[in-house]
Amino acid sequence: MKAMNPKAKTYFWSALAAVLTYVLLAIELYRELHPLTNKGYLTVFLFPLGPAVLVSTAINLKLMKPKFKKYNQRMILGLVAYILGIDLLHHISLPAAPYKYLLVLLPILPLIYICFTIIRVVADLDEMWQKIHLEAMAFSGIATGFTCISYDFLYDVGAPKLSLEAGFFLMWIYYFIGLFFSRRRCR
Amino acid sequence: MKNKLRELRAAKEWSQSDLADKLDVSRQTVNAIETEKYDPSLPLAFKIAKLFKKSIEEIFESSED
Repeated sequence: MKAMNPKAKTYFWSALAAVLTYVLLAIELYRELHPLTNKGYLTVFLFPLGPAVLVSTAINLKLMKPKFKKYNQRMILGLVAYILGIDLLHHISLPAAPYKYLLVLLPILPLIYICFTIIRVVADLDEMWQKIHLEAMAFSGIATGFTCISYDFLYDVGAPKLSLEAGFFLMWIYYFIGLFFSRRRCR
Repeated sequence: MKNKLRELRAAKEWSQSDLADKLDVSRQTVNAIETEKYDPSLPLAFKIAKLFKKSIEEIFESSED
């Protein structure tokens, strides 16, 4: 550890904190949702990713350029508001009135804020990074679309029913695959 | 597209980060242009030419030429 420069040290601690957050949350969710259904497995494996990224980003903030630091602070704020909103909804009993549909959609407001922040981040990137992200988004959109259509055919012949959330996570997985290949071409 | 960006930067004794800051792009973008993995847009090519006080043709050369 002594040989590490301060930047590498921060990356090391942020990665360690992210892994610990992920493992602890996954264990906690596993305990809470046991025995697991298909959706439960998805929640246990994927839900802790958000808080883990959040913790890692918060530790790395001091290494970021001022403009990206600002955007990351906004992202953290949005994600914390979203997580608190979801948590609140789990702890209150919803009224039977029709406005319960509006109430359950309240945590989406921080997500809209996050979407606008992401759009600003992309607009502030330089031209090469904009191209890389655009290619990744195009790949993600097309691949998710084709996977959904393929799954529809499989479902018609008896494949198990999957949660709609799977499509959302799939989109992000394809996005990172696209980002990896697009980035590699410009390296 | 071939270019002389690496030679020009070396002549000025600038690091890739120095050049990236002057052009308001990322260091990775400068590296990608130097290694000819990425062709800059016309506005960025003009910015580079202006920074080195040369014409675009003196810095960039089409691979087909």
